[in-house]
Amino acid sequence: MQKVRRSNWKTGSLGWMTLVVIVGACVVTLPWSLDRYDVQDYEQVFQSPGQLYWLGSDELGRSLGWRCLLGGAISMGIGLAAAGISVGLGVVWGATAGYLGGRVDAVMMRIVDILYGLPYILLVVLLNLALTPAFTRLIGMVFSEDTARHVAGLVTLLVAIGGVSWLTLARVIRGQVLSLREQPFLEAARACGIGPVRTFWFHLLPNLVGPTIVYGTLSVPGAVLAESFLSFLGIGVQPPLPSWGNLAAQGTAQLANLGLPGTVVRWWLLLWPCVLLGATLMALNFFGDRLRDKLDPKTR
Amino acid sequence: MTEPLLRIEDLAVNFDTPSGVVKAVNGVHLSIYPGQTLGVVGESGCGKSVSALSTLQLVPTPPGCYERGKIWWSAKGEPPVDLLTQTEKQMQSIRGNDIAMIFQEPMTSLNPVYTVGEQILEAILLHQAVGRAQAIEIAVTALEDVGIADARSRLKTYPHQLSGGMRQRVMIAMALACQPKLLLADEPTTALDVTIQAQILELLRELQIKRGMSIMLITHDLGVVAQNADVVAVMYAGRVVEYGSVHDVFDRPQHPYTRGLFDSMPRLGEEKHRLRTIEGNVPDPGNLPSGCPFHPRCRDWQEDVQCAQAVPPLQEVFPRHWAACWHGTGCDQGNASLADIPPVSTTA
Repeated sequence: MQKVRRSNWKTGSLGWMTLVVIVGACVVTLPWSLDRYDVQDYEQVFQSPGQLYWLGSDELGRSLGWRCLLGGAISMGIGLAAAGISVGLGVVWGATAGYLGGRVDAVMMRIVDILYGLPYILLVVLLNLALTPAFTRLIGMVFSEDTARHVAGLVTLLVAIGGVSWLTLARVIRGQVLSLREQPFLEAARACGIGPVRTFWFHLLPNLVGPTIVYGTLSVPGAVLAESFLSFLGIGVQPPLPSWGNLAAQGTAQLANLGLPGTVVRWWLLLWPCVLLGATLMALNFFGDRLRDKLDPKTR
Repeated sequence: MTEPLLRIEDLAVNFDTPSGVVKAVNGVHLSIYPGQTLGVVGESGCGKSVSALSTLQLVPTPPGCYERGKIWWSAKGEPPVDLLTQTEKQMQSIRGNDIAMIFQEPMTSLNPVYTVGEQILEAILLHQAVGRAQAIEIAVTALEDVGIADARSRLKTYPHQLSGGMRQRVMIAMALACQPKLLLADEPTTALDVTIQAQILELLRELQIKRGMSIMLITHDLGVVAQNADVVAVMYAGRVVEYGSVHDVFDRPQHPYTRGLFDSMPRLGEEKHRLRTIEGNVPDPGNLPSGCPFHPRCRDWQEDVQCAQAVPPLQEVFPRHWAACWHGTGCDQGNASLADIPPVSTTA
């Protein structure tokens, strides 16, 4: 038991440190990476990693290093924001259903079941189509048209991912509420003259903080992966904006005619985004697991 | 004689379950007078807790349903109000303020994410028009009153840092912080060990004398009733079967069920013999036997009496001592009038 716990602690701190290093690098360098991610140099296309480009350059002579850094910031940003949306929606939906119970609960959870049954890529694509024009118009009121188009794409994406991934959280939270609802302290609160609304906000919800934080943290890697997956398929972050997903897609495209005589293996285009994405996802998962061990009274 | 503080009149509470309607409480009459402790005893599932919860309208509806009856509450100088017809809003100002309740499980009756102080303060701020600083003083006094040393720093502890006895003290402090006139204590000592149990009961007695409040003490421990209650109501299958002062009921139990309970209890200083048990099991509240619900287990059941046909009403077998039995031993001595009127107290 002791041993298991210690190994958990190690992977937890390893995850924590990896996360800090990668996210820190992506966020701190944002001012420069935003400036340089799209600088093209046709003299220097497909440079392998070396003195000039630490991580190599792509088919337009853009620095892969800067693109990976900005891509990381975009991926993590979308991941975090989407997880935030899914936590907010999931907690409110699940807690309401569980607390009210009865017919309301049945209807709300059947809605979740139906959404669960629909293929999620389809939902994201539909949400994307439905929301992009509206967001572009909204953001265009403040920013220039070009920026608006980029930002609207990202916002739509994170809303779409968040709007799909809250379903699991809603189920988890509803389950927690169902068991909490029978706890004597809620009856004691009622017996003290505390109204149902106050009981819900001040006595029930604070007891959900632990599981919410844990499942929230664990849903971040899910959202990052979803973003990368969609970008890889070409319906996510649109070029020239980079994300780890579409960088990996571009890297794969370069491997398309691998094996034909005379092709050069441009491995760096695929390797760096994949390594960064993999390391971050693993770190997030370790971190979330560790947090669950810390906060979940059942495993404490 | 003064007016009763609380008078339960023919209360019936049903629960709608998938396997049919369960009559948890089926015509209960009870009165509690100011400054008095009413002990309610009975087996599990006989309707003790449901009667107490009904008083605060805390029975979950659905599946529960207040079938009939009245619960008259008369606060000082005001005409009695029926608590069952009060709105949720009105009940919220009564709960914790006029009538407080403490529960059986002190381990889980406090919210684990708040400190003890925050929870007591919430109850005080909700019912009393005081500022935060003043509320803290009230909370400290309340904790000191229940015998918690170093009360001020205890306000900052979380429930899991306290032992069971301490938590029950905190629950009592919380319940009494608003100076309620009636305390519903639903098996307050069942989850505690015997020494702590004695301390808590002693504490309740002291506080009752100091504040002149009434207590409805629900328990299944006859010893606890003997020591703490003035009046005792014995319940069986959702009804009160015997009702009277502690002395009367303990000295000459009239209902065969009460006698069975006493027979099944070991006594100190008595020659050892096998204890007598009450044959059979508590009837399924969803499927009560006809007539007197106790008759299938009754030692005195005679075929010729109407036991199996009609439910015996609560009758005054001795002055101020009621029992619901068709052939109670005292029947012919007392004025065997039907107690349509709810029973009144023996002493004030």
